[in-house]
Amino acid sequence: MNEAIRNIQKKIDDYEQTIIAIVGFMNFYRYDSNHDPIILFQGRKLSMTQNVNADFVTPDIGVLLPDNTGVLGEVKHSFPKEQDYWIRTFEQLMKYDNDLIGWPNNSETVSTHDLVLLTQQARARAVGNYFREKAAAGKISFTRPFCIVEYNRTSQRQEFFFFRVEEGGLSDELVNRKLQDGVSVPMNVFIKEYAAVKLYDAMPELPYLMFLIWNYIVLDKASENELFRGLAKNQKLNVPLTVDEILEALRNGYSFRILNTGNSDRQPQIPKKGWIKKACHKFVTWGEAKWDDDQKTNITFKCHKKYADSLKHFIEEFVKEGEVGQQTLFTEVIDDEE
Amino acid sequence: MVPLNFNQRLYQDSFDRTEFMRRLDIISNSQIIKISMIPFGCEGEPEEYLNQRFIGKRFVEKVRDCGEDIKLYKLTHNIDYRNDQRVESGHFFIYKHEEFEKIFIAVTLEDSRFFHYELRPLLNGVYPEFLFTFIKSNSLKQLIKDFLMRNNLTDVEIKRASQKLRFQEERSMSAVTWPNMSLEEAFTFIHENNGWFKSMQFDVKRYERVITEVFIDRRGIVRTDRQFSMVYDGFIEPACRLLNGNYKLFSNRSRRQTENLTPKPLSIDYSNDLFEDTAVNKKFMAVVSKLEKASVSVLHSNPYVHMSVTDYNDGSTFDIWILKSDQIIIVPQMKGTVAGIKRLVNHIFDSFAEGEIKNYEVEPV
Repeated sequence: MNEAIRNIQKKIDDYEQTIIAIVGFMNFYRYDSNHDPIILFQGRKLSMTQNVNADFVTPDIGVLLPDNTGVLGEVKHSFPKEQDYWIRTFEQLMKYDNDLIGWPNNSETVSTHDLVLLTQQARARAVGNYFREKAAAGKISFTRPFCIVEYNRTSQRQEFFFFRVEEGGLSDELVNRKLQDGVSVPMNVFIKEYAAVKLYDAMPELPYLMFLIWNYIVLDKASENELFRGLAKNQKLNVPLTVDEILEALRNGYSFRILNTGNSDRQPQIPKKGWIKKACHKFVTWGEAKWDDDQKTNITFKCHKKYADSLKHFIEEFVKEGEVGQQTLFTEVIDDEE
Repeated sequence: MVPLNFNQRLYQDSFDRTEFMRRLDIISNSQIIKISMIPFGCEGEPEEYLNQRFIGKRFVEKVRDCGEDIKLYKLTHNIDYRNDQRVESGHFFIYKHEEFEKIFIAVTLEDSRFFHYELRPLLNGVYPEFLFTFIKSNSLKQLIKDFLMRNNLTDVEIKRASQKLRFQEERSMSAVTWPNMSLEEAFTFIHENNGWFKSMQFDVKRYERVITEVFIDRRGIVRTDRQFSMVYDGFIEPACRLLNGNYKLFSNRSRRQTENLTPKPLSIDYSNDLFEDTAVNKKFMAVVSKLEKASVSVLHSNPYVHMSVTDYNDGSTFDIWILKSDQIIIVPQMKGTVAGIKRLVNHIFDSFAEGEIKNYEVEPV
């Protein structure tokens, strides 16, 4: 059980590291390029046609520069041991190698854009070799500038995120020069972003999502009730919410939406409704909440103050149920539900 | 209860703040009774939370308005516990600080028993509406030194002190020690043992003559037997200033109150590289995890620290990050009240280490 708990904790940590990598990389363009202003976006729907919902992609990284060029990228914190699966990531990136529509400007297009794959330093060299081998064999090809950037956390007197180009190059001269040599970004510089962004467009581990809902939404709402303060450990307080309320609270407060608040159909709908429903379903199963309607749109949480460490509690409960390993499958099923 | 005949003029007359202070000074210098003062902060009117209300089993009623922003209250506590059946009651004033809008001072002439066992618990019970200040160990030492210098006093003789030493057998310990120890000796000991003074009682001398006796605790609560004005200026005023500073620094930190929900972090800065040794991270996390009435989760523990804290008192939620060896960053989330921030910071100062709390500024890269 301890190993299963550690495994989930590691995945939660990987999730956080991915967000830190996205924020860190995108901000090279904000602070180190000559461009101003720039627009950063994450998980935005870009498609081959004007139809928003037609065969779209949602890159992890999006940068729109004022000279009508841009950058799209994917972050893969850890690649599986089995290299046969690596092609999927490159196939995803090859989908970004198109004249995509939906950029956050008036024309919704750019003249050209770079493509970037960000991955952890530990695997970057192997991924680079894989790319070179497959590119030579004609199995991977890009028409636009493509670049693999490795990142790693480093510690000295303070914490840094280190970025360096492993393969290829970027069109922006200043950013490229920095990244070719390798650059360490102090983590405390982007603390406001790290603290606010807790979700990107991949579903986090369910216990972590439940922790966010419980601590950041349910307890927050419960505290508006005058009975909350005096609530004893063995007492419960009903907190009615709708799935949409939870969704909006997380989207507006804890997703990359804070980087680009403009309303658009193409703005990322993160978290997805399916994720929230899955979490709510689990709350109900564990007796922490009950559905108020057959459509499962209204839910009442039985809020309490029992947990000295709610994240640990949700992880342990999850592991006890033996659900570890099944989430990935479920995530794929519900991922499309927005 | 103090007989009304002694202080009946004070309880019956109307006066402004200057006259009130003058009278307290006269009473103080009569050397018959001690005066106790509790500075506290309140964002509304204290009367709203006290008058005609039970705070636990203590009932409070306003006796009268004595003057602008000075009110007299009576506290009554019907004690009925096993064989102990009696009524404790006494009077206290609350007046508003003339400069700081949210700062008030409770004053009583009642005896030590009423002060310690009735008035203090009463005001403690109005949490989080009433908040107290927090005097760091170094600041307390400086306050006492300034007090001596400003009033041409020569010496302090500690009569009693209650201290806590951090990380002793994994929990703080409290003790009453140090009769007749000098100020420097006492603070040197406490510093070397990573501790702090919970309270201190000392005689203040001008050469061999005792000028006044002062009791002060970490929360700025002061009790003195003589020289009311001198003690007030030396300890209560700075305590009020500190508390007012807390309100200014900790207010409007909720993301809900900021443009685009942008976080407004705070930092606790240390003068040394406290977190250079990652074993200290573990100690820090263990300390924060002991915060009462809270959910504390660790998201990352080594080499950097990322924790999440939800305060069960009012639903405030914070992220805590340690990304540098000499700094803790506290990020209030959607709700981060003054009381919630203060409770977390006080806990870190009490149980881990005192640092300098300030608005977090990003250093240029």
